[in-house]
Amino acid sequence: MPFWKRPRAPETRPPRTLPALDDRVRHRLRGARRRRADGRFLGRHGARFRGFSAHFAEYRPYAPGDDPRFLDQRVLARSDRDVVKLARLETTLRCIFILDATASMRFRNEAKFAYACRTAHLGAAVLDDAGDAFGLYVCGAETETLPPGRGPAHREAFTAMLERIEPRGGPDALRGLDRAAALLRGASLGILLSDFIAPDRELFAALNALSDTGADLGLFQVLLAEERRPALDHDAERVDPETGARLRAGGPGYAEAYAAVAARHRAALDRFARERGFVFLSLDPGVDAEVSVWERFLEGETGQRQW
Amino acid sequence: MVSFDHPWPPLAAGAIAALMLAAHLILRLLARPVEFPPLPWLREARRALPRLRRRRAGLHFFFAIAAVLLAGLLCGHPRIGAAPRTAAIVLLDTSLSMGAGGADSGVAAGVRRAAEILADLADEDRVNLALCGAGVRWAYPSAPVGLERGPLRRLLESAAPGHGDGALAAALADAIARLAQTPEAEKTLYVISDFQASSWADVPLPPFPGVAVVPVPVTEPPEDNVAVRLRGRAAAATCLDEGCEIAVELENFAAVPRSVRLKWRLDGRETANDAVELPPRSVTLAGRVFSFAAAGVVRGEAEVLGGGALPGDDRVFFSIEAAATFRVGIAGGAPVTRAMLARALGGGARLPIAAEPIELRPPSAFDAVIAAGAPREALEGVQALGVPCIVFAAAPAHLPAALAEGMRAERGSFALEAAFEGNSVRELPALAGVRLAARLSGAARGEVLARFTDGAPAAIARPAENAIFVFFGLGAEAGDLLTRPENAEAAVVFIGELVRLALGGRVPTLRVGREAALALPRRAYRFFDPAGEEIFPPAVPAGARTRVTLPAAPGPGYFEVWHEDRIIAAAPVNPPPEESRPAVGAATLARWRSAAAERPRARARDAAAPLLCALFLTALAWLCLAAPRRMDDGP
Repeated sequence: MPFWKRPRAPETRPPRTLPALDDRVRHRLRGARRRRADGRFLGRHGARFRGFSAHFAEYRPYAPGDDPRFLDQRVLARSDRDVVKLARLETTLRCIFILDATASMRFRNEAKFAYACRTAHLGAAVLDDAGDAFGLYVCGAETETLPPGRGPAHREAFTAMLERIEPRGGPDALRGLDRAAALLRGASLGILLSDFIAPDRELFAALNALSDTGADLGLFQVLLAEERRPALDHDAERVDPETGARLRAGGPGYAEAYAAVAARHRAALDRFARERGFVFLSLDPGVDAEVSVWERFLEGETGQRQW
Repeated sequence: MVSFDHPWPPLAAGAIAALMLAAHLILRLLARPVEFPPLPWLREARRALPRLRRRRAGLHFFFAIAAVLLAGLLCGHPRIGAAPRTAAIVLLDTSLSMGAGGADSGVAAGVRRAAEILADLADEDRVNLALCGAGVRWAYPSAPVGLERGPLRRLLESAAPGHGDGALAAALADAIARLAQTPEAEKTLYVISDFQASSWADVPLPPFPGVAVVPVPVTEPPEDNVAVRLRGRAAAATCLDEGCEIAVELENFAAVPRSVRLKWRLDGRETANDAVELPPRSVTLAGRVFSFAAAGVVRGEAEVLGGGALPGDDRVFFSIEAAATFRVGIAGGAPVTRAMLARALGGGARLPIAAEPIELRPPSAFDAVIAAGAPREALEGVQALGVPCIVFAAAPAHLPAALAEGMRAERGSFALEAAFEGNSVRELPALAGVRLAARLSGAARGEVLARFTDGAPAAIARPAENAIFVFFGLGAEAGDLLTRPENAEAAVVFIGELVRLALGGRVPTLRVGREAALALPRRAYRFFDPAGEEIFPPAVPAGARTRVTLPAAPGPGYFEVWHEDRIIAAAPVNPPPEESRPAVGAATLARWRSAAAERPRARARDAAAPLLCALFLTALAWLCLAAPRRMDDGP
């Protein structure tokens, strides 16, 4: 490739310093509860499974194996039915942040990747405030893992890792999600921060692998406005930063065709999330503030806002 | 076979298309690709588009190139089939005006244009060439046109500017007649000339049916010419206190009056500046009389100035030799004899001798004394002056008496033989009309000035102290030579020559006036003697005259030295108006040009090269546009 055709060398990356979290933001998120969790410890998040505690949830016919201590004696006395009184459990949360650090996240001076890091940093703070454990899995040129943990030291390690990571690597990074699935198997929540720009077959194969772990998933798609509605009114040569593939395209009709493809791609992701009870949020760093992202996630909102 | 009437539009279209393609490729090569992460989505969107829309930019570029090429091809007036043959005649004007300018002369430019025309014609075209100088030289003298190019090239190489006006009119008529005999469908007559004034008439178009006359001007004709003919006076020598007139002839060849200034310089010093009005097409003689106070050769120069419109070396040089006057006093004699002597020694013979009666000036003012009458009486008053005295001993009877007067005793040293009638004098042409009846004998002691045809002395000069005695024999019947009217003309010349011979080296010789009228600068001219041999350094023969033609507009001119009826020296000075006749009319040239434009001659017979070039460029453009598309479909 001639020298004038080579992509410009990435500018010297300024140190990614994650902002100190505002107490008001923490207080705002402190009231939010994720309703489903399967932690081994009692916590403030509602567990996905019913248990036996003081908070009544429902009655269920007695099944062999149930502890006879939880038979509702009143119902048994009145109606001679063996029912078990179930209560709503509250448990702790083990969350794994899966961060896409491929070269596509480097677009526009790492605007997407910085936004994903800030979002993860804020989520980690919220979880840490609640006493939940959180870990980090970075899939890029190299995969890095921070096992779940809690406490100030873990948070510092989490922050340092976020600040250190450089988005590099090609499309093969999706294959590293297998290791994330193994890591997620023991956790209850996985937050996947990515632009989800990948061939559909490989992308959904990876997502299915994550889904098969049984963990709850949050799919945060980070796309810049230039990627949502690019200027395609003139012919130009464009290059994929991950694969180096080039394509000369542009002109009348390209914008509409591109919008249709992108919408179809988002719809597929949204359908995937809905079918499995996951949360899918399509985020624009220029529009969606990090705190609102977590508000929407914790409140169970899914899908995408109107672009 | 496809041919084009105008080969340049297809070539220009091909060049434009090549430029467009090069610019497109360069811009495409130099453009830096834009980073775009969602490239898979864009590729998918591109696949969803219709094929025509996907290749819209390439198609636009392809159609633009195709439109340019097609327009060029159409503008070239393509013809399918064999091109018709052409019969062409090239007339190259080699008249004098076409030779001005040296290497950039009209003849050189015309030769180049003729070579281009010949190269532009196809091999199967028939062509003839004629050089129109003083005469007409045909490459094929006896044939209308020919197929071989060798004689044409040889004739072109021999083209040189001729003298005088070209025979273009005759050649034009001849060429038309020759073209009329050719069977070819297209007949073209190229006329390469500066269309200067010459002897050719303003030939109208109607007599040329079926022949396209293509005028090929090589130089712009001057619009208004001024020609000045300078001629020096024959006797460019003078004596002190006398005037010497140098006449300059200015001939205005223009059709409008001209005002010029004639500047005279002597030895670099401006002596006169005359304003001369030149009527249209007329000859004006402008003269200037110079007189000199000191003897010597004076170099003069006449220059014509017409403001800023007459640049160049438009000068004529001359030299005048001023000699001192040898003043002779006439002593004694009858009044008629004295008048005759004054006339003989004064104006008639143009000698540098001023003869006056001795009574008019003090005796010391005279360089010599001539005794017009009896020697004793004549020399009586001037003996003490010490100046030479000339005594004419015209009759034998006077000799003893003269000698007896004590001047110098030479008695008996010679005698006249009276029986010598009918003989003529040999050396002195002036004596041819004088019949001497006696001859001298015993002349060995004197200087023989003239002899008769048999060798006998006719006139003898003998110095004696301050006097010089000139003896010549006259019969008794011719004793009144100086007084008889019928002898007057011959006697004037006779006596003048005798005095000149007797005084010998004491009288200055007039050299310039007898040899040349003008002195010409050596640097710019070539000179030829009448036999055709080049003379270098220049020595202009007697009787030569010069003619300088000057233009009004900047351009070459001519300096000519004429001898009798031919030019012996010529050099370009400024523009070259040949003759005073009007040039070819502008209306005629315009008619010729329009007629030639209606029937374009320049054609490229073989148009395969432009077509192949256009097809190649189109294919190259298509490939360049198609190649990146296939690469894009890669990963």
